[in-house]
Amino acid sequence: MNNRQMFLTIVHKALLGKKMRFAIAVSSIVLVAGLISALLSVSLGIKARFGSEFRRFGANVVLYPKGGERVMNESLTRKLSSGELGRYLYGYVPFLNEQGVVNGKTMPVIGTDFRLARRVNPWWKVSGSYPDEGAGEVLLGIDVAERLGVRVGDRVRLNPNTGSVPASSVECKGCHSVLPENHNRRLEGRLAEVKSNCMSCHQAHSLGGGSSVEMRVSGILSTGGDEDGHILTDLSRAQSLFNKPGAVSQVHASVLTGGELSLEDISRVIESKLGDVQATPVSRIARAEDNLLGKVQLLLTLVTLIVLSTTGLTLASMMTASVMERGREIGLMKAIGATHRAIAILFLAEAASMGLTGGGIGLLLGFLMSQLIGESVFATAIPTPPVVFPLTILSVITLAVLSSVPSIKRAMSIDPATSLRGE
Amino acid sequence: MLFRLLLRTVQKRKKRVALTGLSVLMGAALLAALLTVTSGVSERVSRELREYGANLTIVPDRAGGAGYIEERDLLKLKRIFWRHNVVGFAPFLSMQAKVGNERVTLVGTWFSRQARLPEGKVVTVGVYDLFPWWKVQGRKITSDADRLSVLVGKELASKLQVSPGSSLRVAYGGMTRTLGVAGILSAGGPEDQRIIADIGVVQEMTGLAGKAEGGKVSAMVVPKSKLPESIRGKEPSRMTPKEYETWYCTPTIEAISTQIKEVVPGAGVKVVRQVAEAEGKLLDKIELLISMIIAVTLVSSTVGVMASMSAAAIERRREIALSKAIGASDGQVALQFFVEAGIIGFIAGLAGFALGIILAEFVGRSVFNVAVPTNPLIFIVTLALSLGMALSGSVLPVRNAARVDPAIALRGE
Repeated sequence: MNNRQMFLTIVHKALLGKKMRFAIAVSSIVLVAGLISALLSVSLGIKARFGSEFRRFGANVVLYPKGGERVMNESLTRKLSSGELGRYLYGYVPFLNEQGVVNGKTMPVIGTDFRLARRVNPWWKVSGSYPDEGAGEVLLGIDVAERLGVRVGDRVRLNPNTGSVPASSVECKGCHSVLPENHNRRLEGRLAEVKSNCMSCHQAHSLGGGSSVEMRVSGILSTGGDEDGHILTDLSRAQSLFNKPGAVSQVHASVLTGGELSLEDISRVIESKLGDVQATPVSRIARAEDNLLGKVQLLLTLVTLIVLSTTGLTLASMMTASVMERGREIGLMKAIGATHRAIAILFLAEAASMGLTGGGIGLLLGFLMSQLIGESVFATAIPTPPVVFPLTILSVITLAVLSSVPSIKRAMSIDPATSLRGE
Repeated sequence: MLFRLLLRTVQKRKKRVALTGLSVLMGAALLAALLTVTSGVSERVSRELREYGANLTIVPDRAGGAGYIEERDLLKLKRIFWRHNVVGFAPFLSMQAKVGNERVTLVGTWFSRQARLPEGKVVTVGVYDLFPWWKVQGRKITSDADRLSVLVGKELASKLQVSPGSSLRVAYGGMTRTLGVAGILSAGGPEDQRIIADIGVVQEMTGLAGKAEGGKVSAMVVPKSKLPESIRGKEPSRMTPKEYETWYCTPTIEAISTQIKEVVPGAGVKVVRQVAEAEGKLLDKIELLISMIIAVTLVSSTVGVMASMSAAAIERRREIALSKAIGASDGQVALQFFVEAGIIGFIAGLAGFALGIILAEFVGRSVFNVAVPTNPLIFIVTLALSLGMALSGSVLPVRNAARVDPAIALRGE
């Protein structure tokens, strides 16, 4: 039997000959490795996971037209969801903000895309239903509904002309007759009562940009914010009502943060890509999010550190103790002529192989634990970042090896005769 | 005899006992630290969530038709049951005025007001608590004596070309006031286009003495999921008195708005759904995440400690065999092990709790900047669990010990 065979036999015997001890040592390594990898995965993946949770607070970037313009082109928004920007975009919603007269009361009239709005503003609560696209329906803010005494299913009369007189005369779109300026002036202030028919053809749909339309109230919107005092309709409907085809006055964008780009960076990217817009981060949302995300991550990191140091110490104490118990064995080896170096290599190899086995199984356990946490908290799996694998294995092997060193040293310094004599 | 044996174990095997104790101690410290950190985490996160600003708005009751609320009624918010959860509130009254030829919106509010708590303490409240994200360049107005100073939104400021220190002539309905610009406000919202003034100035100019259009309130709340299952979906009006009491005494956003309505007559309270809705969901998520982590950690560290206890006992087979060879019964051997484990568990549990509190304190200070309160319940749980870990770790070796044949064990390997 040569030295190498002898070495392998001793390691083999030490590991499998004492199954019980081996099983216990490896299982503690498994637990530690499992915890390390699970906690690392969770704390590394938390920003991405929580990023979309924070989007419940709504848009964090608002896009305005550049240089004091009142509106910008709707087609610009299409560029938002394309290319690299699309990866950061959680959702966006365009708004056209105008003033109109609804059943005789002047109020903000907002055109928007309700499908997009629901994603960006998930807190909107509608009793009834959202307007169907192109059905000529409106959503009334709850305060408006109360003020007008209107319920779901009722019809309201919406006049996009708030009574301010156009500078020049207007043209009837039905019969194309040019109407005198005072036609409109007569309507001023009494828009609700006056049928704004064209004077020459008597059609209701006619005047310039200012004929009133009847719309059905499909739902009542309550948000607890400004929207409670607004009336909302389909974007394209609002654009044709106010005679502003393809125009939007602002776009709310909900951008995922937590990646390598900050919100300011993303705003710059939006500006350079879209051209004629000014992208402003909503500091309220951005600041609170940064703050909270930072706190949650710090908390997780500290918890991870505490768990690692305590479980690491537990593991180390166990490894130390198990080598300590083997003073007799070391004595025997020395007595039959093993060198210090051979003994050290033997024990360290033993520790390393336990670390490797335990670490491998532990990774599997950690994967399961992080899946469990991900599924129960975020309803999606938390991906294990590749860096977790080497980090976990290396740290348990280091732990196992380092914690054996002091007791090996001590055992070797003992005279074989003493240690073999026993207690 | 038992005690002599125990004493001897400790003396002869100081290192071994210390190492075994260490693993129990670490387990106990982890337990105490994590439980202490979690026990108050949702309250602290809820405070952090106030960074999002007001979650309640006070509006004049539409049925009353007055259109205004009394400004001084708002101070009563510091008298409601959950007053300590109300972290900020202020009234608002705005007017459209002119500065030169520019039409501006002047918003009157409280920069700082003294509110007296029922217990006599006086606290300062004001608009900055509602808008923690406001940045003021120049001087922040912090005294309620400073009634003629204003903050100007940064976009309006560049339009009006004013800077801190300059003054503004504000005209409204034939009246003019000269107001000093204390600072330029960047708010990243509509306030950037407005002038923020003391509410007294706006009341005086508009002739609405003591009135406000409404108010905003920022309150720390707990999600609805904190209510008992039985009353979670119930309308307060249909609850039994006992259920109502539970509901009233849980700081959900609904309970707090009810309490505000009680003290501010002629007012309605609206929940700002953007903040309130998201907040509740986020709190639930964070809490769930932390408790999952705690559960996973505790289960595995408990198993780890037990394993380490078992390993320690297994190493002592020879000793057991010797005791049995000289006539010890299985019961005596078991008793010795259990008493030993119990002592280790107890001492390590005590020390572990102390270490855990220090760790929790460190976490609390570095994450939330506040000390974490110690809960006596956690002490009991920690001590019980470390005893449990130590004892249950010894069960396996004791059972094995009973099966040990002294002759074989003493022969050695």
